[in-house]
Amino acid sequence: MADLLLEMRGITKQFPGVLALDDVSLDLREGEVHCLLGENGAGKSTLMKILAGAQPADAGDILIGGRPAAVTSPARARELGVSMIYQEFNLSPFLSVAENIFLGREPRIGKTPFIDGARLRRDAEEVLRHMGVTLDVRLPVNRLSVAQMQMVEIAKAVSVNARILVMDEPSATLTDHELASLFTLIGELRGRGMGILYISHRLEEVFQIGDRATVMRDGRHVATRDVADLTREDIIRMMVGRELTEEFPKVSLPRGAERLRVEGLTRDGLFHDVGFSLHAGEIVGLTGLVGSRRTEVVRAIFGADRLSAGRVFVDGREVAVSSPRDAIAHGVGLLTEDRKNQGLVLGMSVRENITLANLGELVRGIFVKGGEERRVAEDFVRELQIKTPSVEQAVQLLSGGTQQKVVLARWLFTNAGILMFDEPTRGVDVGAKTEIFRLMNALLERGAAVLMVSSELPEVLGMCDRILVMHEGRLAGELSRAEATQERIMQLATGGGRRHG
Amino acid sequence: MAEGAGAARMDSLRRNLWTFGPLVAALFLELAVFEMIGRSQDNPGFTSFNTMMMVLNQSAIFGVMAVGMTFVIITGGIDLSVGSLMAFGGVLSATVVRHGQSPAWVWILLGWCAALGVGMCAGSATGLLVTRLRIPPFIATLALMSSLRGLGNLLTDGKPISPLPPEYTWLGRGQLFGELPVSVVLFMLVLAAGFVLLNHTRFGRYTRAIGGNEESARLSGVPVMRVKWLVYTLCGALAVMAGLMLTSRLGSGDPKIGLGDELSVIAAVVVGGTSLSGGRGSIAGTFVGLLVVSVLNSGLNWIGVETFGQQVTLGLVILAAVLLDRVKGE
Repeated sequence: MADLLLEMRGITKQFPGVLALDDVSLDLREGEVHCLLGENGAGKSTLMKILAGAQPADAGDILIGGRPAAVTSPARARELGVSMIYQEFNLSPFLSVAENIFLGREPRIGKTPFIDGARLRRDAEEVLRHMGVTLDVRLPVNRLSVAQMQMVEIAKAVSVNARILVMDEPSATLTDHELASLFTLIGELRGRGMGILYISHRLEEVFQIGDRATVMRDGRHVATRDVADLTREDIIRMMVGRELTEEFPKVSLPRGAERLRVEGLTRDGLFHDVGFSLHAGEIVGLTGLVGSRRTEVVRAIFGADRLSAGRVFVDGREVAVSSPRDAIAHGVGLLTEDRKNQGLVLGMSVRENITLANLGELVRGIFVKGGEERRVAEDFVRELQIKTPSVEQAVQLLSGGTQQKVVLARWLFTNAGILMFDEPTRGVDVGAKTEIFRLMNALLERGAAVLMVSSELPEVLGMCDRILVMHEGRLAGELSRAEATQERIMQLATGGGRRHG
Repeated sequence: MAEGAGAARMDSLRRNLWTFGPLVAALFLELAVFEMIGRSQDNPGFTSFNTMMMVLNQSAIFGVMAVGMTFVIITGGIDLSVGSLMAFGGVLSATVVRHGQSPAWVWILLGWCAALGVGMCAGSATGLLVTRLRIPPFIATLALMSSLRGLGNLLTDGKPISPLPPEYTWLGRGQLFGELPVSVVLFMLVLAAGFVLLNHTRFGRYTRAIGGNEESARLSGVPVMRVKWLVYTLCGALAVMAGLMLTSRLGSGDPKIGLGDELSVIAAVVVGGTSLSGGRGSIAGTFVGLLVVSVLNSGLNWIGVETFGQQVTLGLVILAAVLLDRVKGE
């Protein structure tokens, strides 16, 4: 058995009102990828923050390389060889790749305070070459793609000789191709004896790169197993603590009247001549590779961005949508991909977030009817089983899946008949995903039409009645539920499927 | 149902205590300290009705401006033009009154209305610069601060307009029911209106939503530009109102008033717990913040500490308040 790089024993952490971690133990061997799995709120992030020195544990020991280590601060963690890559990168956007890699450790000219720019660049190039990555180290970081930024983060870790690398959902925003190169790099680092703790919601990845997996639930350690001994069903059962009967609770309803039709949608330089329709009672998937401009299309329909050309029809009548306000007035709703920055007002309460898009309903004269507003919010909290101590709780204190339900409640309250969901299950755990799908079904039964933008092919295939595939800003094709397969979608998404060629 | 209501009420009570508790405690601490020091100097009575009314009367003018500023800061903006707007509004009304015929009160009302109208125009111009032309509020209002100050001086050739008819001084020096200064009453009315507007109307909710996350607000159908424009318009009108109160109290239309007052007003708002990064803040907080600053100044006067010492202390209080906020945030 390889040497243990890290042992965390009996880690316990209490937050006001919640026991976030209850006697959790975890170890990491030299040269392994150890996947950490669990639903939102299971305690994975807290455990990793304790390891990275961002938060103190209330009880428990951490041993690094067999010796007890007091990880009192992020700086101390780095000295001990622990590097953490968060979902939100810690990069300075206007500094170059090289400057970012060596931030705080710049080589200097002799003993002067001046930075040795030439050596900085050489060292950075050396680190990247070692990783097998080609990247111009003089580029400012804000000109890089997400995948490239991630490489810079990894380069930072490599350059400080980290032995333990923690990656929090590294795949969330990567394309398949980028993911493949990330996995190659992870394999490379593992081969050099680095231990990698890998957090992800995508179970397929566990089987692609994981050596061992640890499952957590409700702040407790459930099991640690070799990935080879596990099945997807095992993992899901351990995560949710019960059998998940249906991951995709698809209901098929008769196709109703047309609710939305768009024709010739164009936004110069981004997408061209996009046209489709949505009918009551159906979920239409909009999929494609990252960069195929799906998000841009739904944002434009919603009036969040301007269209260069195109027409939008709601219930058969042409409408002018020049702002989200107009769209909402016509009964169109958009659940954005990035709910923290474009969905919620984090500092406001659950109540205020739920009613924000339809406050007009709760107003007499210029005054908001306080009692009625609270009742509306409480009804939604009950109906959607939003886990919050009260409707006055600030949403920033809630977990990802719960926040997503708050956004959903907001759109349910607008009574929108046309709902567009942009990556509704991103960063949401398995149990909550199924709940979100059930809510979509409930919407359909009320006569709504749903457009679901998603990169997750299993959920697109599992939930949608029709699937639209985009490629480089154009609709590459449409597949019915019966004819759709992963292969056919990928063929269209990669530009290889001119059916009417 | 009743249970939920009870829990929610407890929740908001707890949050209010958490928000205002330390600030109110600081206020009482100040009062106690000044009373004690005063007594030891054989100068008791700092906490009497008369002194407290004097403190309120002194904070009334800043207070009216601070209400408008609280709205602006909650949207994540800033308004540096309020000091100049005070002076411009004051001299404008004084000019109207000086050129007026009898009866004086008609022309005084005319002057006040004209000034308030100009204040709203100036504020709405700021609003348009910030929303339509996307000029950062700091820059837009910095420019306006300079131009309005200049306009005020041009209008009067840099000299104060005096004397003004005695009726004019009613706003700043008048009393209702014998004891109650008109400016204090006005201040209380503005405070109450601001409180209701921020907490119980759609406009107030939208103001806080924009400050909390402008993009989320826009994507939820909040008319972001209109709300911001209205917020600056409100702030402009209240700045002129404060200018009229001060001009009336001085009895002359002085283009030099309000120099640097924008910063004192911002300080009071910040001491009151409103966050300069937007989204978080309250009228009640601003009121207590004003009192903390105002009691401090009066109290230091009371125990014989002069202006320079007061400035130093005020700086320390601002720092302490912001540090307190930081600690609470964690």
